[in-house]
Amino acid sequence: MPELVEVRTEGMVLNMGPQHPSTHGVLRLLLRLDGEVIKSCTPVIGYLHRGMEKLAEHRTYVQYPAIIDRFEYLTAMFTGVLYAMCAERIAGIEVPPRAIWMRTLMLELNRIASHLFWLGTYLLDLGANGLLFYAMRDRELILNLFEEVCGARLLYSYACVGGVRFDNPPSFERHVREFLKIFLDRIRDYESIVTENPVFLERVQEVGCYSPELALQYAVSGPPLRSTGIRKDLRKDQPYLAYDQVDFAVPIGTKGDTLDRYLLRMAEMRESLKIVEQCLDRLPDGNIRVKLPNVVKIPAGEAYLALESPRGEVGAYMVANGTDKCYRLKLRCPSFNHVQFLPVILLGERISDVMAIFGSLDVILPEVDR
Amino acid sequence: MNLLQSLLNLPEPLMGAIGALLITLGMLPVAAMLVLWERIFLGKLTQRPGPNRVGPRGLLQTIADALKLLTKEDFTPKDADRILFFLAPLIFIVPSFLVFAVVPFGHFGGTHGPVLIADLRTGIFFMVAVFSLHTVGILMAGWASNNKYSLLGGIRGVAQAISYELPLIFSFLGILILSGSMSTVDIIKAQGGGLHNWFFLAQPVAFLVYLACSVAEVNRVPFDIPEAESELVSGFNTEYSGMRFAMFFLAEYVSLFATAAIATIVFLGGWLAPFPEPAVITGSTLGYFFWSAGWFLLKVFTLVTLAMWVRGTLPRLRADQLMDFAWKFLVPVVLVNLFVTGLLALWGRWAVAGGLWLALLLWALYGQSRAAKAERRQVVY
Amino acid sequence: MDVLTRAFQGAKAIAEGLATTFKHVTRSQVTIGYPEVRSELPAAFRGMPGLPPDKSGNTTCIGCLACARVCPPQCIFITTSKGEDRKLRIDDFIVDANLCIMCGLCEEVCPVTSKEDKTDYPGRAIQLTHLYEMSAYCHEDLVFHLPQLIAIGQEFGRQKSKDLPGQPRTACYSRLAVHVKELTRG
Repeated sequence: MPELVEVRTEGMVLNMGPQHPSTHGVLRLLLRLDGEVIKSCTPVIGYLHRGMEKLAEHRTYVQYPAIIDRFEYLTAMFTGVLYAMCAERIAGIEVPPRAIWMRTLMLELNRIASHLFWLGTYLLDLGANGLLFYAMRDRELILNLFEEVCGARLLYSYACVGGVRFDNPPSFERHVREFLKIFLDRIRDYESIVTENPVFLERVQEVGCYSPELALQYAVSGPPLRSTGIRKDLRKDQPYLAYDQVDFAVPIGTKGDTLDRYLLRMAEMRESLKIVEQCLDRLPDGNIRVKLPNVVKIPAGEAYLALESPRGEVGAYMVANGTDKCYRLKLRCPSFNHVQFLPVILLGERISDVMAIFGSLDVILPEVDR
Repeated sequence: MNLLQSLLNLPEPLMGAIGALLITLGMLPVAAMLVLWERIFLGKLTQRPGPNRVGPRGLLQTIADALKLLTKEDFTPKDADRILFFLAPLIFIVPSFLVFAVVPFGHFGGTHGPVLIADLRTGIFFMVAVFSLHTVGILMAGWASNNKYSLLGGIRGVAQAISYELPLIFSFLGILILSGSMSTVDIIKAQGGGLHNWFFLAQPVAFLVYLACSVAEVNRVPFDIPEAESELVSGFNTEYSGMRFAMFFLAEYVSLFATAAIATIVFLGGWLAPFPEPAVITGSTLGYFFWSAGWFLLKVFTLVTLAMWVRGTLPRLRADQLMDFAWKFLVPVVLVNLFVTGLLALWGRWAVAGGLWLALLLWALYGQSRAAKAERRQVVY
Repeated sequence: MDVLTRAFQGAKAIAEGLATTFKHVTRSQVTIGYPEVRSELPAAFRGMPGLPPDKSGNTTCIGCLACARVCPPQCIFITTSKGEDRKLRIDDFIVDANLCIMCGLCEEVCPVTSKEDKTDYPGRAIQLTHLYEMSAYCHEDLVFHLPQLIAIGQEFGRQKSKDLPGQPRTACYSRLAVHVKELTRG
């Protein structure tokens, strides 16, 4: 019998990022590998730090909504609205109903746009080229709607303290309805390419599973949390804006794997379409913003508000001190928690799955690094 | 090359050298065209114009790309294994061209013989053997680059090649039973007489397995794990730039053409038309040459386009799933195929094999219609 | 026979996907060939701020500095002086396009309004125009002074674009490029 020779193997440290095609910005992952299997993972963040929170202390309540868009540029509507709502909460400003409904409408459109972006880039991470272009094509339709209202495609500076800055042009409603009409077909297109594709299923089924308890421990929120079967959606749990008046469902997953997160986002896009339609139907007339003085001063006080962004719970804690600038602004973003969740769920997975799992969490780095 | 040989009356080695030169020079524009066509086709698939800047309708785009690559700095990373780093692209590119030695591009009609450099008696065997040399190039590139991504890509490439060569070769064995020869010319001749005699009908399963394996062989989506742009940052050729990268790039497209050519020869009747040729064409030597070469290129082009189409649609498999697919699915399937073909070759007509497979597929369809659907996961509202 | 069923299902799904992608070959292309073709801008489009002139070709700015104060990136610089007739004169009006984020707060706070409609932006002294091509070889070229801003406002002001809905404005753009270049040199 031949003698058994023990082969000595060495671990390898792979430095994934910050310049890596699919780390969605500038995340750096220090991976310790055994072959292709991950033994440990250390996310290194901060390459995109711009001092968003500090800047809030030096810009007035009028100026900052234009800057906070950069906090998370794929869902710029959310952060703008969040900031405005915080200030309104502290000052007790009543926002006109039209502004409330328009904010809701814009948030949901933005949610669809963000999910579309996720879908395209996620499939690109998995190696499929075509879908990226389809998703971008349809995201473009939404961006056109935004451009029609507020003149910008990415950084809207749409919300302001006391309402919204831009009123809908007359053609807006017609265009949104056209979009609603064609977009259901487009979702079906994506699903026919992706949902039952055996290659896709192989890549996502039973990949990146985690338990609801673990997800809660790491304060995971949004679709990554709902995929585990926990029905937690701030739109339902603590309704803000007009969400208590519209009818929509919060889908949840069953297994908490990557496939669930994909299915969830597709379902959420459909739900968002419903909300958009209801917002359009019930959009009241009237002012879009409260008349405020040129220099907005917010009385001393503090408030924490959170919205359900496409990525999860995005929150802002604002301390006002009676001047025209806030004393402190703390932003809570879902991506940060998702990144710190990565080392736990990547353990024992393979390199190819890093992208499948990381992508499914829909992390965006400007939000993490602020 | 019988006709040419009798015309020119040159010694065999010299004819071979001329052929090699022709292939090498001829394949360069073909590869350039394929690159361009891929970009245009992928553009069409995604409602984009594709390249449209350089030259009329962007037709000169690949030439511009090639010029750019040629003029770029030839960069070797620090601590790279210089010799291997230099050799890898060469070893990668040579097999791609070598395969064409036994590819009959057409026929001169009648007894004039086919258009090919060498009608080896082990033609198919030669193709597969030469083709697997790619792996050496991939591993060398991955190892020599002194880059972890490249190394992983190189190792993945080897693992993949080992897994997929087996079903690839096995998919030919049924054909060899049917045609009784390994020579490419004989295999094509065995398919003469019209569409119904082409081997993809007698061996549909082998055909599909070959298509899958050939995509894996040229490292394209969904089997492009050695490159895996979104994971390994294009894997084994990460560190290559300029001319050397151009060689990798060129070799990939030539290989794509080569695998499609092999499929055409083995399964789609090579230069043969799907219907009996009219006498006008079979009579004229030059006419028949263009006629047969045209059919050959048309088939190859269709298969290449199919690969591009797949690239625009499918995601990439994971490395271990790739092996699973090869060992647990493709290998058993081709083995059963071989077994069935062998049995039928003893006492059946060729087409019976196809019929049997069709019956199996129908059975699977029946089972699917009953069992499936419920399996599909849904979100809970 | 689970394997066969799965294989068949998979093949079917892949074929479906391929059919969907192939369907798109026949659809018209969505790309806009940018420099030759320009997409139609909505009236609300927020581009580079400009100072649309009045009929005599001067700016309507009254030098109140409201825009300079509200500007989040602080990219507006205005120098004024009292003339002999004790009226405030705008000596220079600088918008640094390197910094400008085109948020539109400047036109929102501008107190100069048209007589007919006080809420209408096209009456403001400073307006976000439809100019979005501002490439230059150095940062200095992107610091726009009063004459350039008036030229930008003249060519691309919102009022202007209302008159020309959806026309290709290539000629217009190249004219401006030349114009601005001349002004920069002078």
